Amino acid sequence: MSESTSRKTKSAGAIRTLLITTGTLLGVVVFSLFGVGGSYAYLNSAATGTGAVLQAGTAELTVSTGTLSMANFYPGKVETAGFTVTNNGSVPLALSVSSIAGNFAANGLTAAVRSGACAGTGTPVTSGSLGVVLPAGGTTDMCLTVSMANDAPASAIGAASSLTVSLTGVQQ
Amino acid sequence: MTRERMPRRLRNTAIGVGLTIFLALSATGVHAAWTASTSKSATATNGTIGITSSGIDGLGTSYASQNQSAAAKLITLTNSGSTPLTISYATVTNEDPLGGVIRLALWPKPAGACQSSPPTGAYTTFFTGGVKILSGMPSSVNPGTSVQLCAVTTFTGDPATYAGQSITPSLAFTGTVGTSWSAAGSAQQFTQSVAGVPNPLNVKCTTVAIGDRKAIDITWEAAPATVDGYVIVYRGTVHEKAPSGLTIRFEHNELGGQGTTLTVHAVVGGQRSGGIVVPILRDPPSISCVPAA
Repeated sequence: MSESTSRKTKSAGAIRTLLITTGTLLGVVVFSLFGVGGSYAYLNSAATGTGAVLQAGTAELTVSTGTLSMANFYPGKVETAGFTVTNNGSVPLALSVSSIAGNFAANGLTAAVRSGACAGTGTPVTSGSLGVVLPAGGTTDMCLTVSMANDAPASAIGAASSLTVSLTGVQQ
Repeated sequence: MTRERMPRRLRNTAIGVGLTIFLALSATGVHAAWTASTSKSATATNGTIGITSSGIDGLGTSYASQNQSAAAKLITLTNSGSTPLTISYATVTNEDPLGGVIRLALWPKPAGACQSSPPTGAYTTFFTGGVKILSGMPSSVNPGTSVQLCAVTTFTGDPATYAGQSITPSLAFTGTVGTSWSAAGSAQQFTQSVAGVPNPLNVKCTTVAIGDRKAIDITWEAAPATVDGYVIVYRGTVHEKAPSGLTIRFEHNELGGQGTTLTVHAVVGGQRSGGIVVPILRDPPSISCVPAA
């Protein structure tokens, strides 16, 4: 065998080794990705094949109907109102407060939310995690706390406010 | 120096591992956790604050003597707003100098009738103007309910100094919630006065003969209780003070002639000066006595 032929043979062997190694590792990675299940899938889609149906999961949150109504705030008053959140999806969701929007701050009010019934205890938050993971199909109580500071301005007397609590659930 | 080459198999394996990691990391960007969101609406309405008052205009009275108090009166304060409130302030007008010696005492009405004298702890002030920070008031008045305060005014001044004077102060109450919410009731007025000096009654001037000289007798009825007595003033000089019902005789030579006018002044007080009490005259009232020729 000539030196040229020998060099070609060695190069081919190296490439083969490289491909085998890469392929093996890729296989392991792909297998691992499928192995963790729901964490990696196509969102809200379905595919139908011959003799089999592959249904992707869903993530959906709903709140109890109706607008909460609270009245007669004055300096020092704290009022709470309860509502429920339901996970209508198929995966557990960690709940958090995205925002509490509205004109309430200009009227001397502060608003915060915590998980659980209003009769219970807990520290409400204005944003961030509510510290609760809602299982698929589960419902949990939420408590909206609205309060007026003792130094609320006189301009707030008789004012009307609206507020919207935005909640987010992140798949666990 | 020679450079050692990595074995080919080991080098290829390293390249494969690096490529795999690169591919794996590149792929992770397309995998995100599922999220869902929802929202809840709410409305919040703030309360209103208001206060009304009645009975303030019943504080009108007249004084005749020092440290005389008017009968206790009831002041009713009603929370006309939608929030609890505290009766925090009383606003009075400045009525100096008389207002500076009329004391107002306020205290919550007890179960029975108001005491005739302010109890210990009652809030007191004078009608010297400004916003008075009340103390001892009911801690909180609920919406739609009322509280009653007892009010007594006392004249602490010298009647001689303020005789015949009067003031018409106004008084208003303010309710508060928190540090910035407040509502003032409408101010109500009332009149307080110090009795004037009454004229001597039934003054008589009689010319009498004392030997070969003539004199004048001046008499009057007994002075009322609020008056110490009356004096005769002649040409600016106080000649004598008579508490009541006395006859003061001026002989003709003192009068300087017939037909001279004598003025009778009331005395409503006196001030001590050098061991004697100097009468303080009030003019008016006065009355002239012209003796007959």
